[in-house]
Amino acid sequence: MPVMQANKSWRFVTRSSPLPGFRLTFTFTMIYLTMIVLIPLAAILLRAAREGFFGFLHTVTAPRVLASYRVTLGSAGLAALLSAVFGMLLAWVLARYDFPGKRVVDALVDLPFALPTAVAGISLTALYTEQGWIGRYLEPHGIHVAFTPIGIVLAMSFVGFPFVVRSVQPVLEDLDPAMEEAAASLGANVWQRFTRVIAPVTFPALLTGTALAFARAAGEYGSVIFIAGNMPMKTEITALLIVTKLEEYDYSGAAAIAGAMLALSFAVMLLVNLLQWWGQRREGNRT
Amino acid sequence: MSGHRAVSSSALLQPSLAQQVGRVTLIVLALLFLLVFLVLPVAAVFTQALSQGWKMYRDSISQADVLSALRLTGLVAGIAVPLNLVFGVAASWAITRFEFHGKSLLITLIDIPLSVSPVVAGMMYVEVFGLHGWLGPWLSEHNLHVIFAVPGIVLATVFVTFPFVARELIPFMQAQGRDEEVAAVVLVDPEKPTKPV
Repeated sequence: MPVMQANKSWRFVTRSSPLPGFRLTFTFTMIYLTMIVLIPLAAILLRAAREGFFGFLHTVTAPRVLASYRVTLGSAGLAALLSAVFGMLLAWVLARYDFPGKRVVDALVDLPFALPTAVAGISLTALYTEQGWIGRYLEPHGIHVAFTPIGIVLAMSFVGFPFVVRSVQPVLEDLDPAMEEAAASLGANVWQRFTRVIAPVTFPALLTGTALAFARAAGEYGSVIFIAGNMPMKTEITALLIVTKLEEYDYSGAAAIAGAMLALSFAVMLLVNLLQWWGQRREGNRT
Repeated sequence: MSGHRAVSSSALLQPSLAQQVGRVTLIVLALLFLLVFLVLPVAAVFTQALSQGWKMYRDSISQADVLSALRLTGLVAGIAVPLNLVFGVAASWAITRFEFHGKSLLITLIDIPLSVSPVVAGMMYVEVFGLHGWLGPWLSEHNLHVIFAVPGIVLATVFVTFPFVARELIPFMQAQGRDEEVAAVVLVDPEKPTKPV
């Protein structure tokens, strides 16, 4: 195949472009993606399939596993909700207001992305145990955070909220102030301007960020195991169960549970895509 | 950057007293959240680390095993980041500069590592490279070590940081548009124009 013939033989290219490098960059992207993501994914799914349909079903619906779904999904749901509220607040403050130290705050938001999750888990646990800076004020009132589901929610929110901030902030920054001015000149008050002008535009981004935060929270391991206490049936998360199975050399059992978690990941990714498509369609309708 | 916009604009959006109160409240709330959620935990780590004094801290991080762990972490990041950088640039060039079928599927596939549990990710590589995995027997025959060795750590790190460069670049390159690059191709030299434009 002559090299100069460029995009001719690539039937799936829908519009030819004068720009160079499609073959090179696309081929590299596909090879890299296949090696790093697709083949390993296929490997684990095939291993899970080796359990057989009923074996798979039996493993992923064992009482201890079901309890771990409840803990994981319940905590991740609450964490996603918390992330949505505070992530939206932070995105709003960062996009709309000027205040001293704003740049520092903006940089701090990325800290959970950069901090090793184990460090996050250890430091949160240190804060909320009986002797911790915060725990010592909560424990006397009977509020236990460390080693309870509340702690799990806390750790999960810690790793999740930057996703919401980073999804919503650019949308808020791009929002043309002229739209709000128009609304204001037509007599809309603050609340109306927020619900009628700002909320509809930011809503898809907010949902996307929240879904990502949920997915991240549901898969989180490093920070949660330190603060959770890891009691079977009570504060044991699904990711930990996989590790436990691996330590018992039950590879296909671990793969089966991993398969169930992957199904959840794919569902969330699908949701995110639908949301993005919905957001783009709304965008299209506005212009 | 966009803060100026909100401050300057027309008289219609000049904040009333109530709005200014609301604004300060929101800022204070956001800062409080960050203080309790981010700053305190990190501060707690440092106070604990330094609670035995500066010398103790220096001694414990200069132990041989700690130093070698730090070196390994640096090495792994030093390999993983450039790999993902090259991938991120290549993927965003292909995605933002050309039209093809299955583009949104490709974007979704790139996002997968964001939603896959790190535990599952690690296990995937054991499945492929481990002793009972697909390539395990071949690797051990040739005395190559991937799992429980540096290449495995690099692979896992590459996986969890996989989408970050592409995710940052794609919206940016989309917003920037390709007109200038096309103009460069047409005007200057059909062979030469590359990304720095």
